[in-house]
Amino acid sequence: MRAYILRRMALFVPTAFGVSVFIFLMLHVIPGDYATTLLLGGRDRALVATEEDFARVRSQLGLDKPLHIQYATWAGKLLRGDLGVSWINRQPVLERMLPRIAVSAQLGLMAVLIASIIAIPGGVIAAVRQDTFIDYVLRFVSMIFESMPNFWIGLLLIVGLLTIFDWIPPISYANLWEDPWDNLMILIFPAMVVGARSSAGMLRMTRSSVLEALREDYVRTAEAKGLYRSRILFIHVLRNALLPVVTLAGFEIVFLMGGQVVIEQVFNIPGLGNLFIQAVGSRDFPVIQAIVMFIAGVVLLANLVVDLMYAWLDPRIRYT
Amino acid sequence: MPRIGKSGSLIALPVLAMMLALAAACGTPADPTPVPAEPTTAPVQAATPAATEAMAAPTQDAMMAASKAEVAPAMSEYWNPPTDYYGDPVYGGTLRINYEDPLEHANAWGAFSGVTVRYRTPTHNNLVETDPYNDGKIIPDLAAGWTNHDDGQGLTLYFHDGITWHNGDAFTCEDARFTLETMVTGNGITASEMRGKLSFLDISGSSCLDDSTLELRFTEPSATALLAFTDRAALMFNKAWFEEGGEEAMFQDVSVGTGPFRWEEGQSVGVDEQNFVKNDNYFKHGLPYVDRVVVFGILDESIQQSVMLAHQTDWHWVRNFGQYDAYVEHPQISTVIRATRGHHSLWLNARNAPFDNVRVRQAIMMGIDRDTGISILQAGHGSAGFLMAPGGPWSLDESQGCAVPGWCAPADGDWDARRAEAKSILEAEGFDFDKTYKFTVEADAQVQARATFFQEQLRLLGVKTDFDLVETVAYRKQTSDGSWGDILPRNDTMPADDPALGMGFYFRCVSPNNHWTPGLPCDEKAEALLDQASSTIDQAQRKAISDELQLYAMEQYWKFPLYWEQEAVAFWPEVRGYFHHPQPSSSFLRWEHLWIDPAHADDADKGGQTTGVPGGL
Repeated sequence: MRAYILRRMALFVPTAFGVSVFIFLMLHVIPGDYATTLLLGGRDRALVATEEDFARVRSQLGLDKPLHIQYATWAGKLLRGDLGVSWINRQPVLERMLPRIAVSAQLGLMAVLIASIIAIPGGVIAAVRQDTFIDYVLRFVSMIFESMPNFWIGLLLIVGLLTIFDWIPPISYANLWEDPWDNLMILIFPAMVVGARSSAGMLRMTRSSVLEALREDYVRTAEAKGLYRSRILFIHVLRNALLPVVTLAGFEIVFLMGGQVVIEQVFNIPGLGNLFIQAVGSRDFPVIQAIVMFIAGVVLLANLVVDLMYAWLDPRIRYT
Repeated sequence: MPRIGKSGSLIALPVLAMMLALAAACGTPADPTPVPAEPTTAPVQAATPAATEAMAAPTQDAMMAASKAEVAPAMSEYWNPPTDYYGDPVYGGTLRINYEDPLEHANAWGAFSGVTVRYRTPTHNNLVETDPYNDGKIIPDLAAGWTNHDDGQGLTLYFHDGITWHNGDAFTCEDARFTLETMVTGNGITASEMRGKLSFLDISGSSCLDDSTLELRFTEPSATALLAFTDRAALMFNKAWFEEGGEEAMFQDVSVGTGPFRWEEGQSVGVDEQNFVKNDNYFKHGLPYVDRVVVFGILDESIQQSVMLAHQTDWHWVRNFGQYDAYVEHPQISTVIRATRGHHSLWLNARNAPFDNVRVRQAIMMGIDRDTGISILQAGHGSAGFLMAPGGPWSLDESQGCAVPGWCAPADGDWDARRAEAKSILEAEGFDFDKTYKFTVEADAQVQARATFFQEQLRLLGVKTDFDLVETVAYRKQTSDGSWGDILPRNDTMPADDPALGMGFYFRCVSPNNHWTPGLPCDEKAEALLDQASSTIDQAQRKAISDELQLYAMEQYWKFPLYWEQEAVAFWPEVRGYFHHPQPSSSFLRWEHLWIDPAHADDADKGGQTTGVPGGL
């Protein structure tokens, strides 16, 4: 087990390196640079920006150095835990990211919780009531949620709330620990939107897994022994059927880290996704690179955790 | 955010009266009335034809002997809220502002942009400001009064007494002098947006006569100095604060200003909700009216609109035409559509034959159907206008402007005849219709869309063009050195609604925004008129010069605005004191001129739109 974990963690290094090189190159091959944003951001800036200004800004930011030197400088700092300083407002990148990570994590967890609350019971019901009206309805609804982009659902929800109730979730963000009610009001709707989309895949996976488990010999044996249907379902079937669902939930968390980017903007949530969009708009490379590296790290960690949970859920699995 | 209710007003009024009585009894200088008066009077300089006050122009000796008491007008002389329409100002409440920009940083110098304004204008002051209740008139801000030097090459500013920074330090003349010096000479990323706009300043010759008197000297006579000081980027900073915090402070620290609002403690920049609280020690006694301003930066346009319609914000500076309609239809929201200094224009490269021929340029411009452009590209929200912002104090009389061929649509609407006339001019000038001309277009989707419209209009004239799509940095370089092709569509913004600063921005021979002059001899007539516009102080004379310059430049067809942009301001009925201001400046965004009157919160007769001032003021 320990060797497996170490091996998995060792894989993190080349993956993270690959991601870092990729994102660094991607950001540097697109036209323009931060000096352009800084000096030509406002239309009137053409009045004052000269070639010397461009050269000076690029020199101060190290943008005049060869690409491999720029990469080595950035990667070296990253290894020492220094994510650099935002070009936009000179704040340490970590300082900008930390409060937003907490917001995004809360939104992500709420979304997965909502998705699980919808998907697991829904999947079980759909499986138990296979090919009935309720099965068709659940599958149809899940297909709709899966097909529609969540930002679109989010916009519809906001317009709907505004039209029907003349109300939308508060725009002024409230901290969970200072004002939990307002915090809930702000995050519940985006969490529902993100969760609804995530629940679609999980529901269909739960349904398939439960259907498969229901056809197993041990279920027939349990029924022959005269066990209650509910005990068979929750103790025997569900535990076995949940394995792929947990795997999918793990991937959903990973997806949410990226998928929340747009939904945070739609609901004006001050999370990591919102910061990412701002940073892309202003070509704030240190922030973009740090966020992408952070998401890559979360993806790798989530995969590791999901793999390790297999053993807990299915004792037959052994790591060698 | 809680706002004062009707019951709150009832309680506040007697409290206010008690405070007034107490202040009078104790003899404090504080005066909490809406428009307090200072005991001295003096003329206020006017910068545009809209203003009528006489200029103070003593001789330099007399100026040196002048005292603040002699030149500073009483506040009641220049601070006149439109109470006829809005009623008397009410104190208290929260004003919530809805903006579309992320509130990323507060650097008013090296990285100045609209974002900076969100932080700095509520918290800082200019030397002088444009009257938020009267378009174009320049009124005191930090400077209580001023005198012009007799030779036209200087200005002496007298600051208000008792100005303090938000950290408690006293404001001194040296703060202002240092700010101007850094704006003009500062290096590094902190090089100022204002550097070019203050090029007339002779910094080495300028000095503080004492802590409240600043003598400024110019390198040449300047009629636009005061106007330059009203610029939204011409904010004054604390010297000690900047020397201690440097560039980091300029990016991140909004805690030290002189403005009507203080940056609420515990905040950091980069968060899309910023809170500002009333500065109780504000030197303009009686201002601001509201207790708190909250500024939101909302990136998504649908959410901006939803937040406004749900009344979670009170004021929205609208840029999206689609949003205009939702507000116009709302019974409680006032929507004021106004022209801006932004415009989209077509440039012809007079460096390249046959566009060096003014008749060819004229014929090309004659073929552009601007009304259709406004309809297609701007959903009807745009103004044709001439070379100065339409509806502003410098805009040309329509009959004069339309007398220049091609600048107005054919009176009978017969575009086929207009194009036939244009084509015949081109043929007479030997225009090569077989040649494909180079159309330099910035690689930007919006610019490309607009360029496509121009291309189609040119095709109707029989002129063949090919797009040369150029990435932004290279595009900037080409437009600076004149190496662009034959035709150039551009998003332009006139930096000030002023003939010298505005038309000079595009037509001064040495201006980096004059895209056809590199390598060409300067146009002597344009230069001479711009020189006159820069140095003539008399407003009637300036208007005459402005008209002459505008007509001359129109006849040269160097640059042809397809349309002038419009934007809207939308606000709920309890927001009071708004005056339609076609050319927003610092004062417009300082929020000291608006008040919240809860008694009007339920008014339901504000729907529709106006291109003027609510109530027809």
